[in-house]
Amino acid sequence: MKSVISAALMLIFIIVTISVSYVHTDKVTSELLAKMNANEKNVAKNDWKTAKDEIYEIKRIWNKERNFFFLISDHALSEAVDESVEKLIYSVEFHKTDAFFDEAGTAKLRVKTIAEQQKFSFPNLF
Amino acid sequence: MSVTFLRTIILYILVVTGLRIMGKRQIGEMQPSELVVAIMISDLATIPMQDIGIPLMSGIIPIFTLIITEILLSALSLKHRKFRHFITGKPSVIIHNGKVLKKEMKKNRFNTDDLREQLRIQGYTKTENIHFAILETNGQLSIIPKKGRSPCTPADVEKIIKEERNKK
Repeated sequence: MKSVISAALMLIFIIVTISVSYVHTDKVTSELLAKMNANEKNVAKNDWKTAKDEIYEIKRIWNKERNFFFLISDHALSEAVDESVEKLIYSVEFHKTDAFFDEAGTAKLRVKTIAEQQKFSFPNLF
Repeated sequence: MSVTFLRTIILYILVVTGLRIMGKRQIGEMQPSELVVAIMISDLATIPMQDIGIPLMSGIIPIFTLIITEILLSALSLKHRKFRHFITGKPSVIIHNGKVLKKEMKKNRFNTDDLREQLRIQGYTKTENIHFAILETNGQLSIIPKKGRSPCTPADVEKIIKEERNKK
């Protein structure tokens, strides 16, 4: 009986962990992607001041959630997002439009991959 | 290095706790499903132990899932006989009244060399002396000898000595 109770508790732990991580990942990655899209629009308009504020906001959000992403996804992928955010900051600081758009595409893809890996989907299942 | 050290300790505690929760059967003779779980758990634990690039959670969640599945299957097996037979299989009679049942042996992919080896290990040289030989679900061969054909035990020797003494 003790074993069955332990198994039930573990099952609850797993369900809660998976649900929380799924909801949280979805929320944070959606927020990051929305901020990145807005950032791209401002860079396209040459509004570097707003773009600078936005990219630092992206960095703040990422740094806040960094440990969580390291906990649930491949460390190499999270480190790649770290690198992308730093490159984006550099591009915005020095007004390098081409480099910014190159890196923005890569950063968005990396964030999307983190979200995609956590989803309960057919490709992930098989 | 300190990370690897800590991760190893965490995973060790987790695996030992898991095996303790699964019960004593895991440590002794294993059923096929239990063997599979034990192998998978050990493998799952070693991957995040060695590679610090893999999140610890990707080792912990599958280990917990296997432990839960194993416990639930064991609990179900305890309640339902048919389910137990489905999971662990049924014992097979290999020798009946000294006669080797080839059909059963073939069904279990148990060859004559395996049978002879098992019989020798248990102290029997002739199949004629065996009433029943049963291949158990954990792969062990149980032998029930014919009356008066079982290997000699210290109690038997003691009985013979007593009889000899009484004769004198």
